[in-house]
Formats: sequence, C-alpha cells, structure tokens
Amino acid sequence: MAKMFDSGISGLNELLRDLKQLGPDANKELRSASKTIAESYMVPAWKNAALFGAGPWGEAIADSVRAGSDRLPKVMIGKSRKELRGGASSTMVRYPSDSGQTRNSFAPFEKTDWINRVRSYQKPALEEWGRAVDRVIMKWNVL
Amino acid sequence: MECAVMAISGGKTLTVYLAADLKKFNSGMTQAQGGLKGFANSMTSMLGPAAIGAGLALGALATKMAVDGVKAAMANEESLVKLTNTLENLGLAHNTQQIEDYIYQLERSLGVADTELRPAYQKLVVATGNVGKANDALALALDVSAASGKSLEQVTEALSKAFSGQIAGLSRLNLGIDAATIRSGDMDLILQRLAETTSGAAAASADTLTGRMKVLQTAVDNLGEAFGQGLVNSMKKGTEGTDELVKNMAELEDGLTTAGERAGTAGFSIADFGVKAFNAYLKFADFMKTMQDSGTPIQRLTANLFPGGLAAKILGQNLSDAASSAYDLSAAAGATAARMQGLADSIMATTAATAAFNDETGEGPVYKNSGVNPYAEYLRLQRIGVLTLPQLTEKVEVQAQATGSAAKAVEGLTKKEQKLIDKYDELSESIQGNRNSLSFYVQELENATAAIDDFTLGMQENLLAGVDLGKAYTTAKDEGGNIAEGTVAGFQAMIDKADWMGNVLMALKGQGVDPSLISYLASQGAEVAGGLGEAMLGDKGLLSTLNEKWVGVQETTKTLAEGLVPEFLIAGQDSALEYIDSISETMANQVTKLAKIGKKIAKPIGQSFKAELLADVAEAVRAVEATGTAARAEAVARAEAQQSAITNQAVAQALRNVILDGDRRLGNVNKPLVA
Repeated sequence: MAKMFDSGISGLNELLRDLKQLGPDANKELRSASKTIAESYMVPAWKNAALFGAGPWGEAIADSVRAGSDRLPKVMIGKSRKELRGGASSTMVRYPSDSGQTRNSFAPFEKTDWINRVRSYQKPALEEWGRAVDRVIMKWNVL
Repeated sequence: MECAVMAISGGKTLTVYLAADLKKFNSGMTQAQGGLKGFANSMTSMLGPAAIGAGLALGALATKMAVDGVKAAMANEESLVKLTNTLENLGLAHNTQQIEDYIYQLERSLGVADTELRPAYQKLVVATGNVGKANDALALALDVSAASGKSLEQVTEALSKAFSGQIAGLSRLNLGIDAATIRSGDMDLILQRLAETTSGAAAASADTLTGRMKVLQTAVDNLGEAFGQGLVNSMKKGTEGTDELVKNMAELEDGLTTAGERAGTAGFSIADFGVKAFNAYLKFADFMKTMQDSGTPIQRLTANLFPGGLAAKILGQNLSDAASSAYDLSAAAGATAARMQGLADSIMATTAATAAFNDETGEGPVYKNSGVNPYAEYLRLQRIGVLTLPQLTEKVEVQAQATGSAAKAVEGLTKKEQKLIDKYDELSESIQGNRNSLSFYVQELENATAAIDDFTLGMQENLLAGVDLGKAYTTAKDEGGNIAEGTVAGFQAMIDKADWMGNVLMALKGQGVDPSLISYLASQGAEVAGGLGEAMLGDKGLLSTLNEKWVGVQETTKTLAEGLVPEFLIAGQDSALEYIDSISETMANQVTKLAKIGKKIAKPIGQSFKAELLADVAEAVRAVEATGTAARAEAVARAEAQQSAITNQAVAQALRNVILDGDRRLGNVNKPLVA
C-alpha cells in the first residue's frame, strides 16, 4: 500500500506513544475524532482534486476516496474492484493520471500533478486534530 | 477511453496521512523538497497545545488535573450532600431534582459555580422553608451580589438572617434601601425594594465580556470537576486487579485497625481522644508536608490529596504573616506580570517579523497558503521550460534560505510561547494562594465583627432591660393625676437609671474589671449592676477583691473538675496517647510503601487511604463509646457540672434570659433592639 504524508511534525511519534498510555477507550475516541476530521476536511478536498484534476478518470478516482480509521486522520484513494469499462480499477488509473507515465498502456494519460495540488486543508485539519488530542488528554488522562 | 486502460497492471491503494513524524517525513524527501521542513516546523507550533498536553501527560499537567479535579469533585459532592440532607430534614426531598436543575441552569447562564450556589440555596431554603421562595430569593441574591459587588455568600447570609428577623446584616450591605424600610422588618417590602433596585443585574453582568469569561471559566472548572469525579470513581475501583496494592493496603488497614481497637478498649473520653488524635494529626500533617515538599510526583500528588498539611500551615499563620505574605505575593505577581509583558511584546515582534519576512521572500503571494510545494512547482516550471536551470538553482537557494530563517524564527517563537505559558501558570498559582489566604482572613474578620456585634447587642439589651414604657404608663395611671406627665417622668427615670448603670459599667471597665464579671453584672439588672458597681468604684479594695475572686473561682473550679477525673481514666488517656502516636508512626513508616503503591498502579491512592483512615478513626471512637463505663461517665458529668456552674455558659444563658425577658416586656418578639 502506497503511503503519503501531508506534513511532518517533530515529536509526533513520541506523542502517539504517550497517547497509547491513556488506554483503549481514549485511543478509540481519538480514532473516531480523526476519522471525522478526515471526512470533513480531507475527503472533500481529495474528491474535488480528483474530479477536476485527474482528467477522464477523475470521477472513478473521486468515488474511491474514503476516510480511514486511525489515530491520525487519513484518506485512502483507490479500490481494487474493476469498475471501469475496460476492466481497470481506480487504483490502476490513479498513478498514471497524476504522473502521465503510461507504462505499457496505450491509454492517453497526461501528467496532471493533481495529487501535489491537494493540500489546502492541512492547516485547519491539523489544528482540529490538535484540539481533538487535547480534548482526549483532558478527558482520559489520569496521571 | 476507459476501455483503453486494460493494459495497466497492478496499482495500490494510496493512503494519505495528515501528518507524520518529522524523521519519517524527511526520510522520503529529496534535498530539493527540504523547504517543507520549514513548513513542518511551523506545524509544531500549530500543534503546541496538543504537544504540550501530551508532553505533560505523565507530568505536571496530570498531577494538577488530578489534584484540582479531585478537590473540585469532592467540594461538589460535599455541597450536594449537605443540600440534600437539608432538604430531607425540611421534608422537601421530593424537590431535590428540581432544585438541582435550577442550580444547573443558573450556573450555566450566570457562570456562578454550583459549589457556591448550593450553600446559598441551603441557607435560603432553611430560612424560608419554601422551595419557591428560596428560588426567588436566590435569584434576588444573585442580582444583589452583581449589583453591589458583595459576594453571594455575604448577600445570602444577610438575606437568610433577615428572613429570621435579623435585619442588621442586611443594613450593613449598603444596598440603597432606606433605613425606615429596613427597620420596618417587613420582608415583603424589603424584597420588593431590593428587586426594584437590582433586578436583572446578574444577567447583565453575565453578558459582559468579563461575565462571559466567568461563564467560560465555570464551564472549564466543571470539566475539571468531571475529570476529578472520574478519578475518584476510578480510585474507588483502583484496588481491583492489583494484587500487590490490595496486599499493601490490607497491611495498612490491619495496623490501623489494631491500633484503633486497642485504643478503644483501653478506655478514654471522646474529648481526650480528640486531643490525642489532633496531636497525631499534627504529626501526620508534618509527614505530609515533607512529602509535599520533596519526593516523587506520586508522593507529592498523594500529599496534595490530603489538604490537612496545608490547612494546618494556613491555620498556623497569624494576620501579620498573612499580610506580609500577601505583599510578597503581590510583588512577585507584579514582577512576573512584567516579565510576561516583555515576553508577550517579544512574541508580537517575532510574529510581525515572521509575517513580514514571509511577504518578502520566495514566491509568497503566489504559493502562500495554497498548499503547493514551491520546490516541486519550480521543478515543474523548469521541466516545462518556464525556468532555466540557473534560475531554478537561484530560486531554490533563496527559498531554502528563507524557509530556514523562518524555521528558526518559529522555533524561537515556540520557546517564548512556552515561557509565557509557564509564567502564566506561575502567576496563577501565586494569585490563587494569595486569594485563598486573604479569603481565610476576611472570613476570620467577619466572624470577629459578628461576635462584636452580638456582644454589643446583648449589652444594649441589658441596659434597656429596665426601660419599660408600658410600665411607666401603668404606674402613672395607678397613681392618678396627669397620665401624660406621669408617663414621661416615669419613662425618663427609667432612661436615667439605664444611663447610670451604663456609666457605672463603663467606669468598671476603665478600672480593668474582668469583662466576664461586667457581663455578669449587666445581666443582673440596673439595681444590682448599678448599686454593686458603684460600691466597687467607691471602694477600690472591694473592686480588686471581687474581681480577683471572680477570676480565681473559675480557675479553681476548673482545676477541681479536672481533679475529679479518676486515675484509671488518666492511665487510659496515656495508653491511648501511646497507641494513637503509634498510628502516626505506622503511617510514617509507610512512606516507601505508599510510593511503591503509587508506582505500581500509576494512580493516586490518597482518597482511598484517607477514607480508610477516617473509617478506622471513626471505628475507634465508636469503640470508646461502647466500652465507656457508667461510673466514668458519671464522674465526667459531675466534673463538667462543677465546672460549668459558674462558667461563661451560665453567664451567657443569663444574658439570653435577660434579652428574652426584655423582648417579652417590650412586646417585640424577635424584633431587634438595634437597627
């Protein structure tokens, strides 16, 4: 599974490790909050970018964007189900639609760089996530 | 077109995370993308609250949250229990939920804590005996408090007393009600006037910025309270599943229970048990103070959950110490505030400089807040021929330099912000300590003022005891002649006699006569007080002899009463002292064990321990009561009877009788003589 990270935060690993000590209920709550943030900020941005920036395959890619469950907000793009008429899945067209690299395909992919243009949600989403972490710490921290 | 993609193979689901740790993030980046590092660092400051919260997750914040939260939860529970108990005693238990809802609504709308509202309500419902009236009175008290600047406690105290007929407190609040209305004692009229002058003040006050902040603060406090409640609940379950803790606690319990039982069977009076227990408590307080000042965080937390040490320290301070301490705290607060101002100015300057820097560097206007990585964009522009390679190199260098400087600036800003937060915490603690000390002494001062008022009222009533207009009229009528002249003359004679008695008592006071003797003489009426007092003034030998004997007889009877205590009882006391001391020793020996317990479960056990200790002490007291013999009780009763025969209680009772008698003759039941 390919992974991408929007931004880097110094000490994030330590933070996540400390949060583990708050117990399963606290982490469950953080997962829930993170998923909500992803659905509110990330999913619309990625759907929009795919729809208007990924060329003819934008709709299929946009349909495959969904929020994942994790302590950090995340979205997953692409499904392996073959849904296009030629038998391709959204995962197959996601990379070529961005890079323009067609490999052995004769389909007319063009470089659009649509994936690099989806970042406007970062600041509000990170702030919201920061508040969610504070809230969880305040609620569940016992020592 | 879709049919043409069949030849593409593979493909993976792309997962995009909102953030990653900087190390992981950097590892996947090329040198040209290093500019993102600056952006990432700015995210660190953006995540400040969360990072700070997490950083403190195992440190100061947790301890503070636990201590504050538990204290708040305990205060909340205590106030709730008291109010519920009062309502049950008044036969109004069925209204408890309704009252709680009302208090909740007031708390949320006006920002007044429920721990303040419940005691206020309790006083008012006791005074009125009616839920509806108490509701109205509480709303009025809140308005009056907001309008006058007096505390809710002061206002409700005065109002509740006024409902019982004591208007003096209400008049002292200076609420703008004319003296005639207050003197009338007509509560309906007084409440009406108060409502006219203060109606809506509480709501208006809550609607200001300060008021909204107060409402917000109350909401935050409630969060802490809820946290504390959760902590207390978790502590109640804290022993589940931790064998070692249970074992250690059981050992503590055994030691305490044994000591309590042995003390109980040895036999000693409850009063003396209190004295010995207090001695043990003082040692315990010292022990706790030591823990508070040093040791591991869990030891400090445990100690802080026992407020006894701190309370003892506060009780031990005198007024001048408090004033000095308050002065020092104010000075420290002022210095801290100045430093905070400097930091704030510095942060403002740094922020402005950073903003200006951003405006002047890179392709700011184009890419700022766009989410586009400028380095990637430069590369793209170079690839499509918009930028030449030298231009690309130059732009990358400029951008790298800009982001590097910005990163440093942001890092500096974050450090300063942290300093500001630390200073704010320091200042808050100082102010809170200052406030607590001052409120304690204000309360003491109020108590002293109330005592002086009571004494003055009692003395005035004694002086007025012989002034009876009705009697003057009856006498004049019985003697025939002009009733009007006779009544005035008789009344004047009574006033003169009261003046005479007052002057004699004042003269006695000037001669250094014991105040308790003056009070006693006053209670005997004008004939005795005036006559005997004048004789004493005329004969200095008599004055000094009587005064000496009055003081001496109280001391003697006290010694006599103490002498009546049987030997075995004293032996029992000594034995009890030994065992109670052993309790404190046991506790002192458990310091290491307490720390061990704390480390094992990573939760404060203070509350549970305290509950166990109190339960054991209560058990010991009950054991004493159960094992006390009839003979001992009789001896103690005899001793107390001897002692109390001519003590201040007797004088106070006599004074009370004089007051009641005066009221009865004046026909003014429950009506104050002094407005």
